[in-house]
Amino acid sequence: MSVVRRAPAGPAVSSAQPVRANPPGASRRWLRQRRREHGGGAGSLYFVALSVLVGIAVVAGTLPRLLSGDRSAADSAAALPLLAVGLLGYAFALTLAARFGPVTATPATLAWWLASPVDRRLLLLPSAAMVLSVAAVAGALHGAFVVTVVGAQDQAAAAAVVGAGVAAAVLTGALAVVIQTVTDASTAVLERIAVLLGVVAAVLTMARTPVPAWTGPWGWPQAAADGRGGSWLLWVAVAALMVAGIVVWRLDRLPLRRLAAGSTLGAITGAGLITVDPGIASRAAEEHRWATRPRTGGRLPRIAGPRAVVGHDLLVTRRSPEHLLVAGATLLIPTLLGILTGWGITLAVGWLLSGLAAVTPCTVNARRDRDLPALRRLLTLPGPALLAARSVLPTVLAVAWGVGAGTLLTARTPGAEGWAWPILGAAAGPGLAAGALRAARRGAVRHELPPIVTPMGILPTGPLHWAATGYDTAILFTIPTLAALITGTPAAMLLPQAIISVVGLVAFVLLAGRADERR
Amino acid sequence: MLLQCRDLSVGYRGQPLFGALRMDVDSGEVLVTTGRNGSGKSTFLRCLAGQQQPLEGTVTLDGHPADDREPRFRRSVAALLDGGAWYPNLTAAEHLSFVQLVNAPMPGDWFTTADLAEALALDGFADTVPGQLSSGQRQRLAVAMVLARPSRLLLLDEPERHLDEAGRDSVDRLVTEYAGRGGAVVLVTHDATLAAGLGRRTLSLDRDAAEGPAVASGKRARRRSRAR
Repeated sequence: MSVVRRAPAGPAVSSAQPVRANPPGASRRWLRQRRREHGGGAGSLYFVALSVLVGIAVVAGTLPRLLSGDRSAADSAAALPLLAVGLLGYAFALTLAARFGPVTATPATLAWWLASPVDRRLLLLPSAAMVLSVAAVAGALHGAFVVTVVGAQDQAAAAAVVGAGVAAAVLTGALAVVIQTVTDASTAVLERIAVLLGVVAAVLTMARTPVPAWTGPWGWPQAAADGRGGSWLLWVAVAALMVAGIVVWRLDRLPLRRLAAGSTLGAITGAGLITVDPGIASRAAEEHRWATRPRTGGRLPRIAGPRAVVGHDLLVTRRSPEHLLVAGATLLIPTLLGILTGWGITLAVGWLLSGLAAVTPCTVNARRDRDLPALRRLLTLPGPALLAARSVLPTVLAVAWGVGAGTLLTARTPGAEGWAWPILGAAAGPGLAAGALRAARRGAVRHELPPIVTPMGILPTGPLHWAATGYDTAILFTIPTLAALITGTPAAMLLPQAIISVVGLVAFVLLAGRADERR
Repeated sequence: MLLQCRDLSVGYRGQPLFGALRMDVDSGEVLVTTGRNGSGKSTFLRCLAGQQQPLEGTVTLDGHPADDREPRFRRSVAALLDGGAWYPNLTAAEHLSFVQLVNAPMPGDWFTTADLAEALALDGFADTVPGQLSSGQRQRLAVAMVLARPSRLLLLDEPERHLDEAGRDSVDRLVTEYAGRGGAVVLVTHDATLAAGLGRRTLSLDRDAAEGPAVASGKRARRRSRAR
């Protein structure tokens, strides 16, 4: 059987005729046919069918609770934190949109489809539709979250809240695409808006004066939950549709250069998914990030010996202010969870994930040292000494983060013991730093680990082991703090936490540093 | 004698690439190692760098076994084996400064960052991060970094790769200068100019090792060197 298929023949372009863009439909059909021929049809069908069934089961289990109408009225104490959560969510979504485009294309599409005389609008339409679809799903989840927290009078009110979330998110996604079609500086514009939203979220978290929820799309589901439905919601939906229409109209004005950066990042992320090895993708993304950004200020501190390693980490932190912004934004999450959910497992998990997210960005050099023995040999420091120097900045940042998170938690959580939480947060800092360093130094995914056979298919344990590495250490070394966050009683945990944290970090540095020397 | 190999046999999975090699390199000497592709040159260098165990025989530096896990050995040996390694967030100039700051205090007569930047023409891209450099520029940076840290034995595996003629000449001069400062160099290369430097001894794995026990030290190696 021949594997060669004839590509669809298009009309030859004659210099005498006006040049018109070809529709990409025929080529797309041809590519789809090729994929069907080479794809595992039965396996894919089974996977899709099972995923749909599981999705229906989850929705069927959740919807009745969401739409039960047993919650009578919105909780006014949750209004501001909920608005802050909405702002943080939109800040995160806009950051992703800025990094990926939001409209993007695969490298292959960028290299030969978009460069050929094919109708660019039709070519990019699926990508734009994907952006708006993802926005719609995220908006629906936002609306459902609002309903879960503040409740709804009846099913119609709950549907209005979810609808407001969808309309707000689609409008925002469409506006992001329009910005991408208008200016080369779309990434900077979207990132600055995200930073602004993060700052406002921080202010709102600490503010006690009421702020109207309808001031932005991040609060529209909340406004709908407050009873602002009807014609107002209709106008939002109409606006979202109109901006989506503008997106379709403007797509053919999108130049290739505005797709290139997001395309590369998308390819790196895709490689991580295909190889089931996020570590490779994150390392490639880190190199790509530094290779594509202008160098911003700062000089290597003139300090000698192992302290120069700390100076290197400080310089990189100074050149990555966005990482400090992320660390600042993650400070809000335990506070908001404390207000919205109170003491419990959700708060403990949120605290742990936020802390690791804050500290992880300043462990990139420790990861590089671990990956490249040639670098360690150039530095000629003993393994434990080098890792100890690399652990200084993460530890300082984790302690500072713990103090900040504890202080915010104390200020805004009812019934919190004022003096103990910042100290407990500081005591947990070294343990968090050890977890972040272990996570950063993860090697490649161990695909040789035995898989687990489930009804949904084979579950590879290598990626699970990779994902748990680092978090395991962080949980182990911060158990007293996690227990305190679940029970709400921090004072008794101070001493155990300080001992476990410091001993844990020292043990990690010694063991991992010596392992580096043997590698 | 600084570096000594006795009855050395190297290879993979028990299969020797060559065997029974005896070789000495003293301070101030440059030993050029040549051989066809797959003859074991890079494996040989990894054994000298203490990163791989030979199948048989010994490698010693100042009478101590070559072992990359020993701090004293690591301090004495600088190696550029599998291409360069760098941090994506430091510029070329900062890499040199960083290596020297961490290795401080530096010997008074050692290469300064300015020496290396000038010799390898790094000034044109001193403020550029490695991700924005060409392959040749990265190779210049890699050579500069390995020379920036103090060492007594320098192991170079094809340092000429990706380099233009001027770059190869720079490496040639720096190798000579390194030896002139009392260091020993083992250089694997396919470049005739680098191999033919003044006073350099040559070890050909094809001629001296593949045919059996080879002695590349002393008169035999010097005779070949003169013959070139």
